[in-house]
Amino acid sequence: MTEPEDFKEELRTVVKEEFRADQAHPSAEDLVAFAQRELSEDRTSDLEEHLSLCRDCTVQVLALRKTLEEGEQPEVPGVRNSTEQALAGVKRRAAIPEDSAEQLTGIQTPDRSAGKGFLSLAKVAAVLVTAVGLFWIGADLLQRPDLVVDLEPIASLTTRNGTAGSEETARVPEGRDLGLRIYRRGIHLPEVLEVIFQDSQGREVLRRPVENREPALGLILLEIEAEALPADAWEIFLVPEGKREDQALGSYAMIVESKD
Amino acid sequence: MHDSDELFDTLFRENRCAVLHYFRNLGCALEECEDLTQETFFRVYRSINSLDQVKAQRPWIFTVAVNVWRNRLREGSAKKRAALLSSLEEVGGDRQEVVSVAEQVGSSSPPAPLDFALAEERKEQLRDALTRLPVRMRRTVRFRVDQDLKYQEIAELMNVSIDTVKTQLFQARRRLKEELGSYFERIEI
Repeated sequence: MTEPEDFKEELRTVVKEEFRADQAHPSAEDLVAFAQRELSEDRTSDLEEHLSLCRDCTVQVLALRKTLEEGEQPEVPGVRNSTEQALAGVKRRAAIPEDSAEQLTGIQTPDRSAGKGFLSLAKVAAVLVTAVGLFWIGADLLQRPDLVVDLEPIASLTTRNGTAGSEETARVPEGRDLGLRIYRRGIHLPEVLEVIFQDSQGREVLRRPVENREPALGLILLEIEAEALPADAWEIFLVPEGKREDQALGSYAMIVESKD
Repeated sequence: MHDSDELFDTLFRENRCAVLHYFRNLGCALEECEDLTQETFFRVYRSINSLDQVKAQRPWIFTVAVNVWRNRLREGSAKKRAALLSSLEEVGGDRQEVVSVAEQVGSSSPPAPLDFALAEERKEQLRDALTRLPVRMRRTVRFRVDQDLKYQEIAELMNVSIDTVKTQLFQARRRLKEELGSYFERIEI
């Protein structure tokens, strides 16, 4: 004879096994239609079967149904932005070119090599443009829009510690400035923010306050002399003022190589 | 202003609160609700020209919101996996060792052959007994036992009354006791 609780545990195990055989989740359209009780009888039965095996989808349907059946929704108390401010924010974000809305994207700045000779990577000026998926209401205007204009992506870099979860190498053409644009959604940055650069050994090599930002665009602009940076690898941490990298709000790892 | 811009403004003003409430109902913190809502409408804005005007617009917006939420779940899972691997790497060192540590996580000493056979038989009996329940009764049991849902929630999902849920569970308990009484001391549903 087994312990009393074993029945529930055993049943959960059986359900998990059944779920493995039925991994495909219904489409978002079907979940919404189910929540609205607008699916055909057959499809409703299929979905009900899936829901009985899949807690994630069940939670979504319950939340959808509750929301859709509540009727006219009152304002959610405590939200940071009014509807009009949020609407403006979406449109400003949409104004940023789609290909720069990557988690982390290398940006090729205009070619400065013509007439000036090649600059080594160690000498190029690096520009870090951090675009976060938040926006602050208020004042500051982007003071150097020319740094953003005319920049074309040279490579996509994904974060090691961020959502993409992998690491890639970007090749930087000689004679080009290196610019980086990070788009980061889902972190809440304080007004006072610093960026820490670490080298490949994990040593802090540079710490800079973020002084220029465009709240509505969610852009943070930072100019950094590349001499101060390690040439081969950086890890970037966004931290509240005076905080350590282990208190970072977001971090990115990248390897930068000179073009052969 | 373009027509699509006007349409978007209207959709935003009419639905922003509802989408915020949806993410709130999913248990998100307020700031995350705002981020996810912004992400939802950002996607809506980008696709506004493909919107079929004949179709209901609110369900379409919620379809986008569901996809945003699913992405967030996937991102959360990826982070958890990365964190586990990272912590195992700190413990383990080389990759081979990491794999073997990962395989050992949660495992204890293997059961004796007889215990293993009994456990497998018990599971098989449970699986069979569940299969013999009427389809909707089986689903009700899964909702209740596996997902810990309230009667009210099950009733909403299955579009039945709370009394029907209670009756289904009562009958399921009786049937399972008859079939599995020798394998489980108590059948709690």
